Amino acid sequence: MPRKTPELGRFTDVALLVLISLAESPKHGYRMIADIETFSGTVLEPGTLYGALMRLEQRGWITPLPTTERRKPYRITDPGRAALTEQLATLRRIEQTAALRIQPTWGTA
Amino acid sequence: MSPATALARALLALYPPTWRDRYAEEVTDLITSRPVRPRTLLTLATGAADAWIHHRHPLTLTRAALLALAAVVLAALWNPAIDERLTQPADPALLTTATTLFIAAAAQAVLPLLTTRRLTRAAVLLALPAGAAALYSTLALTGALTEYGHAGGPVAHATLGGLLAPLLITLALPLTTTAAGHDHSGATPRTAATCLAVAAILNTIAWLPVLAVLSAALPRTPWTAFAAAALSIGMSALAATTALTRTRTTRPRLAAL
Repeated sequence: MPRKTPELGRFTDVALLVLISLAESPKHGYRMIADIETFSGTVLEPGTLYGALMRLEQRGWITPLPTTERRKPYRITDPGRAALTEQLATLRRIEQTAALRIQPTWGTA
Repeated sequence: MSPATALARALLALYPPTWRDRYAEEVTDLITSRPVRPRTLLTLATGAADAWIHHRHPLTLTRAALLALAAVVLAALWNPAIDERLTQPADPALLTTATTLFIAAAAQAVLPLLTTRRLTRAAVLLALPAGAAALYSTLALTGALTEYGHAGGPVAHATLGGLLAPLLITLALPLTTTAAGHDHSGATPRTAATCLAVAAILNTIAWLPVLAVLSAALPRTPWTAFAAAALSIGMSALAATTALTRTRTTRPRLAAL
């Protein structure tokens, strides 16, 4: 997971998980928690989830949709999708570098 | 409803009112439809502290009203603050420095006009005449314009800049906050907010030589001059911090996510 920053505080990782969840389709809070648990194994609590939603909404990376059945779904915006793509590219570079470095090397001291 | 669920719902009262208006219903729905564990309560409590620190408070009526009130009071202090009692001798170098810094602060406050995008620029071009008209009316009502013609000497003229700069900074504030609402990339509003912050700092520094001169002649210096200085510095600082707060969360930082 990426490094935490003061701006996103303890929600740094959570914000990324939320964006990944919403990249598939719009979801309300309950469905987001279930989806994130399914694909990452992380069980989010309401206080944590809505801290991340607040930040993402303030940045304009997600936006609420009209309430359906008392629940408000959110969808990822174009800037949010672009930001997620950029972040995933960074993570991919990190993963590739790490994979190369943990390979056993022969003939070195 | 279980005691844990009731406690979790009660914890929502710890959140800022603007946050509750926006999210409380959704969070309540989640709390009542899932098991409440100790970790649920803990994250709700820490989330409340986080929301107070990080929730973007809109340019609330309170803050806008405070700035408007400060502008009116500043205008009202204008005449008493620069009247004929500010005719004491002063080092011209100090006053020139102050005037230069006040002019730089005013210019810095207007600078965002050149950096903002089309939509915001249009909004400002509409807002500025309205703001200027409002300012003129306020000054006319308080008698400042009619009295200024026979106001005091060099100290009074140096003080004038410190009265105009915060008004310009405040007038430029809606531009920054509007830009933050329309430009999610965040770069332009952030630049505008930084300009206002620099303007506020310049305004504060500019007051220092003026305050030194006023303090040196303390028995004859009217208290309104000091009140105007405090109000000028406070007003510009409030406007600048509002602009910075409003634009902070729109910065394009997924690289930092």
